[in-house]
Order: sequence, then C-alpha cells, then structure tokens
Amino acid sequence: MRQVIVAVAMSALVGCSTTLTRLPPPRALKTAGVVPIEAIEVSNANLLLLSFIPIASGDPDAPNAGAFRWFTDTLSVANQVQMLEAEAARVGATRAVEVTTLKTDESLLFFLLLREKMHTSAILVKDSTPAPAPRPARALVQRKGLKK
Amino acid sequence: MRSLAFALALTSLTTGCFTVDSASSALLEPDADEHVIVRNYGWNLFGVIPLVCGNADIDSSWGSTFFKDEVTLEIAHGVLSKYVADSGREICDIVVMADRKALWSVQLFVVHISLPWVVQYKEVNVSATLVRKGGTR
Repeated sequence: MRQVIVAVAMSALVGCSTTLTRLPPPRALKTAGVVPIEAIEVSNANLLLLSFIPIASGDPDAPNAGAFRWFTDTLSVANQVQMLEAEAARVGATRAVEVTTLKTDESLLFFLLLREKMHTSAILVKDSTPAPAPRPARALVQRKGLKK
Repeated sequence: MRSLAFALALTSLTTGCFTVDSASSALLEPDADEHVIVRNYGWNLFGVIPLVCGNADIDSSWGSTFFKDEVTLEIAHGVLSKYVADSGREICDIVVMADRKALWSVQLFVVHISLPWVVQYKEVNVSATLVRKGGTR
C-alpha cells in the first residue's frame, strides 16, 4: 500500500507544472481593428491532499520548464493572466481577446489526493489602427494689443 | 490504516465548493477590464439525488450546502450576472462547461478504470470577460 501511494504521488507530481502552447493565429476575429499574432493556451496543475491541503503546484513564472512550488496553490485566474502578459510582452502584443478559462479536477487514490487543472486560452493581438499623428505645434502669433 | 484512509476520504467528500475568481489586466483594455470564472461542484447519489455541493450564496459563511442541487449553469450564470450588475458592466466572451464523472475510478498508471456510478461528481464552469457598458466589443 505504501509503495502504491508513493508511486501515485510521484507520478502526480510530474504533472504539477505550467505549460504554454503556441498556435498560429486565426484568420478571422470577432474583434475589429486588430491584427492577430498568435493563439495561446496556458495551463497549470496542482496536487491537493484531502482536496484542500496544497502539496505542489506549477510555477507560473516558468512555464514549459517542469518547475513547480511545494506546499503552495498557484491555481488562480490572476496567475493565468500573468502568464498571458508575459507571452504578450514577448511577442509584442498589446491586447488579449477571446480569453476563456476552464478548471477541472481528477481524484487520485479515492480523494486522498486531488489534482486540479486550470486552462486559459486567448488570442494575442496588436492594434492595427496606427496611433494618431501628433498635432503640429502651433506657431505663436503676436497680435497687436496682446501681451507677448 | 485502511479505515482511517477511508474516513478521511469520506470527509473530503462532504464538501462542495462555489468559487468566483477574477483578475484584471492591461491586456484586456481598452474595453474589457476583468476576466472572471465562476465554478461549482458537488456530488450526487445515482446521478439524481444531490448529496452536497458548493453554496451558491457566496455571502454565506457556509461553503457547502446539503441535499440541494446548485451545480447548474442557470445558477452559475445567475451569480455571474449579479456580480456584473453590481459593478455596472456587461458580460462578453462567455464560455460554459458542465460535466459529470463517476466517483469511483481507479487509475493504474496509464489505465483509467471507472467503477459503477454509485456516487457521481458534477461540475459547472462559466468563464467570461467583463466590459464597460458602451464598449466597442
């Protein structure tokens, strides 16, 4: 029994990490005035004891690295958005559109261990409307009767 | 040892959880300003008799509710709508997911074996982006 618990726990810890998957951007978007750069999916997983005591969870600061944090629950929308922001900064995107998040869980060892997973997908875009040109400086006109 | 493990597992069964999780980001600007996920899960007996689930009254001090089925898309969407109405915004990019699973399933390495559906796990998930009223999206 002990060996089974250890084996299951070890295999479950392997899955506690964050991943970031990049896909080619879609050709059409619901949002107008933007240029799609890429579609991405970020995911995070954790391992809980008795459904509420965190054992390990993925490190949102290092996706695709197999990194995780002990005794911390990092599954949150804020951390998912943080990973989106990091990828947006990397590819030069200014916005994320069609952002969706789903959270699921699965039991291991009859609920002694519970693994939760959170997946967020989004399309990173850049505004296609160029920034308005700066207004030309108006020349000062001296008029009679007015102070300089 | 087995009895203790079974008792502990049974204890974790007597809870559900209703959560509203959100985050703001400059990435969602200029129209949207918050990404929200509303989730609830619970347990049913034989798929029809509700045992326990998360309490949809998020202001309540009780996190779970018994013998009542609040794991429905209507209730989750209702909570999201109230959350949005209180802040004077609108819902955009809404995605919903509802799922049921057999409770007793054993995973032996790569093989996943589901046992008869005596107790069933049910969950509902609503994801949305909130925009200010009058936004372009």
